[in-house]
Amino acid sequence: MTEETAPADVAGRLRLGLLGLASLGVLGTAVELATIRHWQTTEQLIPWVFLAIVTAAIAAVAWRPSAGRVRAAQVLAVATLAAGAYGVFEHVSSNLEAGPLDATYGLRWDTMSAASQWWAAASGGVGPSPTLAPAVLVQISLCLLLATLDHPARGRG
Amino acid sequence: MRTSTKLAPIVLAGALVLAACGGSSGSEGSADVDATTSTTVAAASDASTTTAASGSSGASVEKVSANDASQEEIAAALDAAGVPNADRWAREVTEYRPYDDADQGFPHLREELAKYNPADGVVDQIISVLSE
Repeated sequence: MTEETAPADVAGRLRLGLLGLASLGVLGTAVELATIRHWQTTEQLIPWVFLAIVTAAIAAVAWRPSAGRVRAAQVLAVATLAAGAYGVFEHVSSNLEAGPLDATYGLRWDTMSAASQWWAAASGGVGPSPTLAPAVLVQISLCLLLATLDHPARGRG
Repeated sequence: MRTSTKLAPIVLAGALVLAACGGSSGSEGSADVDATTSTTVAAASDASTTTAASGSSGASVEKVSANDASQEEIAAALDAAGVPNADRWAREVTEYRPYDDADQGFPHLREELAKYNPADGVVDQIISVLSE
């Protein structure tokens, strides 16, 4: 009496699940950015732009997907992925510049090796920027890319 | 098979991102903490600077406008007040403009500066040279 689920159904559900996870990521990130008022400098607007872009990409795949829409979503997802990676680098770099200002590290900052400085900046030892927070854009993008993998709409040309 | 072939670039992209996050050491210079130029803040014609007596010693402190003074002017004022890394702090002051809470002692700026874990008294020193 067991009913076998067609592979296409499973793939469709997984695709929807990944789009759902990506959407949750967008929503959670937007709330987080809003709570810390992440709009006070031009650079702080970058994640908002890419949240809007990736939202459009998710919508393009979820609603009446076509080959063109799926391809466009993949391009936008890769761009968002790159933005997330840049965000991590930017946060670490910003923390690195803040090293000399830190009460604990400041006095010995210039005597520290470059590796130690980068580690302190990346691990939250110095600076105010959460280093891995922008990586959520990478995660959202990967969910979206996986959701478009072998998408049936691509076969419809 | 086909799926795994297509999956590979995505996995690779993820790996590259992680590598980029952790492996970029040394590509950027460290803090730009050049000694600030010791130009005199009190450029006579500049309306963004004022002089005020400060503290019990009566020593005068050049006050600069947090909203209107240039980053260099703020850096020079901070330097004159003995704030270490004046140039870097000046950048922070200009970054969070505009300020409409000067009469309350710049609480928003204080909050932002405190995130840098500065030594005791540094934030007060910075605020002491700023006016609206």
